[in-house]
Amino acid sequence: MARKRKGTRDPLFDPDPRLFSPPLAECWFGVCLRAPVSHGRVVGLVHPPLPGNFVLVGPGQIPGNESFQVLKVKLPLLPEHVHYVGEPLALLAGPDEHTVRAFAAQSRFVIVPSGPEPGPHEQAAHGHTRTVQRGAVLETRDLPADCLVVESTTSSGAQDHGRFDALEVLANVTEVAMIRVKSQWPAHVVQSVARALDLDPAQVQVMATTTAGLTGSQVWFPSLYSVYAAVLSKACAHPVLMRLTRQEDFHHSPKRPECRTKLRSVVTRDGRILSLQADVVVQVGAWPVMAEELLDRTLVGLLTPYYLEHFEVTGTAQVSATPPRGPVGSNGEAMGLFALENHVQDLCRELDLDPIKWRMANAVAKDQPWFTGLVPKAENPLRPLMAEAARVTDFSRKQAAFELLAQDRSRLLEEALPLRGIGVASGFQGNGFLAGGSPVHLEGRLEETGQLSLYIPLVTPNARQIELWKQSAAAILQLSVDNVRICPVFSGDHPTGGPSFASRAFEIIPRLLLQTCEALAQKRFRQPLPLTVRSVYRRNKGPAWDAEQFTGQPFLSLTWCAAVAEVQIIPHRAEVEIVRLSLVVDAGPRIDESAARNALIEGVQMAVGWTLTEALGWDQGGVDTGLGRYRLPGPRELPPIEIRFLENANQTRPHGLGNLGAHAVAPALLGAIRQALGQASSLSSIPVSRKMLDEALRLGGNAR
Amino acid sequence: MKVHLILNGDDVTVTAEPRESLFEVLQSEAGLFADKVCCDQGDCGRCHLLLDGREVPGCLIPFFQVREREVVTPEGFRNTEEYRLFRTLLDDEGLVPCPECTEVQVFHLFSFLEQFPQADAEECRLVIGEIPCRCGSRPVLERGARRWLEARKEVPRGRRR
Amino acid sequence: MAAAVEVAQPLVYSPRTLSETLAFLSANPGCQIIAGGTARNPEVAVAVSLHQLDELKRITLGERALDLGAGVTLAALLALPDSQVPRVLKEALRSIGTSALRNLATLGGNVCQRGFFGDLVPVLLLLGAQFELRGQRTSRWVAAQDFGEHGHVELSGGEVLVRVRLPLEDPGVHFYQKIGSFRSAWDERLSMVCLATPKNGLISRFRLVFSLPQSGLVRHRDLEADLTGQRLPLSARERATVLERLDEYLGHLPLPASVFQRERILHLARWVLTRLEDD
Repeated sequence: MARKRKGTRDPLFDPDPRLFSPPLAECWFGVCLRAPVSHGRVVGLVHPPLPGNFVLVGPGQIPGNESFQVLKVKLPLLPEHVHYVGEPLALLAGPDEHTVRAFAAQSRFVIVPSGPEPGPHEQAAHGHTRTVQRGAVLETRDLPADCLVVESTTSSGAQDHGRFDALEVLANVTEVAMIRVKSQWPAHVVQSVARALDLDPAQVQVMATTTAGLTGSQVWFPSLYSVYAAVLSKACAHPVLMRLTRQEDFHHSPKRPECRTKLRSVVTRDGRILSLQADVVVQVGAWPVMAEELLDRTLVGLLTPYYLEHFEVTGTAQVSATPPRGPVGSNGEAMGLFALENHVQDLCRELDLDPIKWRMANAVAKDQPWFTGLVPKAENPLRPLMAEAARVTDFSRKQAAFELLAQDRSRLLEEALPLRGIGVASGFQGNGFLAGGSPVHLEGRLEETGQLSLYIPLVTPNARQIELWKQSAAAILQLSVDNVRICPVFSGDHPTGGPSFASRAFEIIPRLLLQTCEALAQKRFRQPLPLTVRSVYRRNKGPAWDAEQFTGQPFLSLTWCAAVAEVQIIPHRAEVEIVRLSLVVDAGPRIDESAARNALIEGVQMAVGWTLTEALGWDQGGVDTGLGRYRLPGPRELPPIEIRFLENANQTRPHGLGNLGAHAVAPALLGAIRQALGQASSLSSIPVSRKMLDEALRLGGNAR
Repeated sequence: MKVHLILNGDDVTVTAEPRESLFEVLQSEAGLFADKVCCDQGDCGRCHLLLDGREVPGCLIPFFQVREREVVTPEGFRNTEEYRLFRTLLDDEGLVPCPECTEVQVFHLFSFLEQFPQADAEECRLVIGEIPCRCGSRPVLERGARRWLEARKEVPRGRRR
Repeated sequence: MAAAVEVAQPLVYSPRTLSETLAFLSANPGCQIIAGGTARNPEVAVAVSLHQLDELKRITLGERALDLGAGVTLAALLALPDSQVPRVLKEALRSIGTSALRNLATLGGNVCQRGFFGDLVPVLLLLGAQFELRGQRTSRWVAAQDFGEHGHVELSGGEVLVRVRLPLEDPGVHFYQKIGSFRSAWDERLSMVCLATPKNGLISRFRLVFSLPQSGLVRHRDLEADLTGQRLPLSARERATVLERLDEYLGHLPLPASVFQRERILHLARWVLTRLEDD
């Protein structure tokens, strides 16, 4: 039965429907035919008789370049050799979705195996490894007297973006290509489609949908499906709608990469790190898409919070016959911080040091060089943040009390009582990593009618944010809010965006908006209407980031926080119950307090899922967990989350904070779990499953 | 199969295959649930609707079961005075709208509160947690649910549509 | 044009009366019964939907028992006053699915579903529930304890579960725990129900059952008998003895159980025995 979906879309932005929203009755539906195995050579496709007007596009039928490029890495489009389960090998379009899907379900590729499944391996290609060294790391034989070596190995698992809005692309290719897609990197969509269709980029226009901010940081993934939809649209000469079901999206969208980190530090008895060595291995799947940035950000996560005079850190991207991973829940810092903070817990435990005091003592100070060689101009907010976190959570007393309780662990288990623990971690968010590569433009146009149109190069799903922008502009120009229009982002006006776009909403847009509106206000009664003003943001004059040397300024700004987690482990349920989660944040003034809290809670939930519930693995090249088994944290795992903002006179501008919770909470939680399980606990990987807790309980105590 | 039902207050006749899900049919035939992607397993909440006044997952209701029954979708609910009041209350509490879940959550929570007006705070917390989403709006929804129930206790009202 | 890719649609029959239903089932052996429709069943050629059978949706409160139609939804059961429904049953009901699913899922569906978590069966078993099964020409009552180790109603060909009878007696204190959900792996899931009646410092009645999804029920009746009559609170040594016996019993368990499940059974039993002291 032919089906067309009716209904209107995008209440916030209403684009010219002739360009981007052809009548759905004219649209065809596209699907990918995917590899059922992880490796081998495609020799054929067995399928039911193809209905006459259907279009099937296979290897060798891409009109332009047959590879899809993300920064320096190229992936083959519709390859003849399979690289992972679910890899699109052919594309199909037809006039109705049901028939197209039914056809796809009944089609099977014939694939000749090409040896055993390739196991995880490292490739020597550019961007797969990164080594950074400062000073001289201390070998065991060179240890100064009264120093000791602390070693830890930490691993963190894959994570799905967890969004229920599955990917959807509408491509309408005629002489030009019009693409409608949920992407935070529209410029990449333009480049990718132009490359695959052999068009001039000026012939490709992209409109990002309003939910573009909620792509779960998939970054490059929407571009790939834009290419598929565009190729089909050109082949069938109809607009083509491709939409993944939630199940498909879960199985095929990029996941946060698994990461294993070995850390070795040489420390003095009072806890000062004399040298640090790190070996980070990140699983990137079949293609090291954005592996370079991923590795760099993971290493930056490791090196940022504390003073390190001597260090040597190595990151390696490991390739395997599994789907390519992506930057879910920030791109790397979370993994680096998680390993570092877990190591600091080991260090403090080994030396019997108060973890809050240690952090206050070792945070990079005003006069100390950062790992980049730069010396911070302002005092590090980590000290007051930690002090406040200790105060509001009564950390030191509780930690000591739980330590005493842990000594009586056998009795607690004997009497079926919960085991308790508390953990703390530092967290930071770098805003605009490697930012400044391209300028950001904001255009304002004031019409004779008094209507103001603001062309903002950022798509936000946050209606409140849009309302705030409108209100600010209206106030400056003394207009009615109804006369201010926030306009859709068209690729032609759009600067080269990229992975580091997210924090622009806080970092750059308010500044540009202010500049634009003030300039319009000045010119308003001196020049005839309509008036157009364009403001440009270019990176500040600080030293540019050098990824090879790890010098310069990697971020526009940093936002800091301290996280404290208090848990109890319920032995009879083999379950972690989070009693309390506290976050103390220094993010500068808040534009919108509710939105700021909301964003922080979102990050915290991401971290709780990463630490406790969201287990995901790979089996024979495909995701081994069904969507039905993948569990976002629910009310059982989520306690009330306590958020405090620290007022800081040095912070005069609001800073991004969406990833803070995601960065700091996981290590604090694992620290609390480890304390609850007792000194002997060597639990160092997340997510912490019930089975892992059961095992830890069995190994650590005699009572069952 | 042709089925007559009351959809968002209107008498309608819809034609579809009997085992197709109500969600699927309403999305394709009536243009409802625009933009919603459902898990098809009855646990994401994106397809929830009221069937004879009870909230159910539309993806689990076979089309043949709705003959002569009353169906209200979130779109229908949005046109009611209750929605406006409840939404205003949530907005006052500082609800940051989430493009993925807010409409679903508001419908879900309101339906639950109507069905179980005696619910306590913990039950509300669990019910809000039934809609999986990454966004951070749960605390606001919890506060809103408490306020709504308190207000209901003070001024009992019947359901209006 | 699309004949090659059409998906066959099964025949679904929606009777309005029980007698029509039973006649249809008798004439169509192997036909699938759809109750609330929350379980994903393999597609079959013919199915019968019970959603129009008002006869199965009745709730009757008698002097000595509460009769619940098999078509009563879990939400409707939860809405009954606490004075009519044992709290342990409500606790188990709340642990099932979501509030919206409970508006669909029925008592009969939960009890009859094969390979299911068996959320309600262990509770109904300890509450002494009886089940009425009707065929076209037959009618019989069975007790939950007759279900066998798999813990669900075995319907003979053409039979339908029509009613569950719950005796109205004080179940004493209860403990209910459900570990894992439908999202967890099978070997990480189980539930436990315990009903106990402490009286004059003694345990006058003690019933304890564990439910392992896809395996069945675990109940150590000798242990229950031994605990009955014991003085409260149990000493640490008495508890240890009970747990040792349970551990030994688990060593010879005829059902498949994971290490995780065995460990939890012991931990849960310990939890109950220590809490029993508190009462």
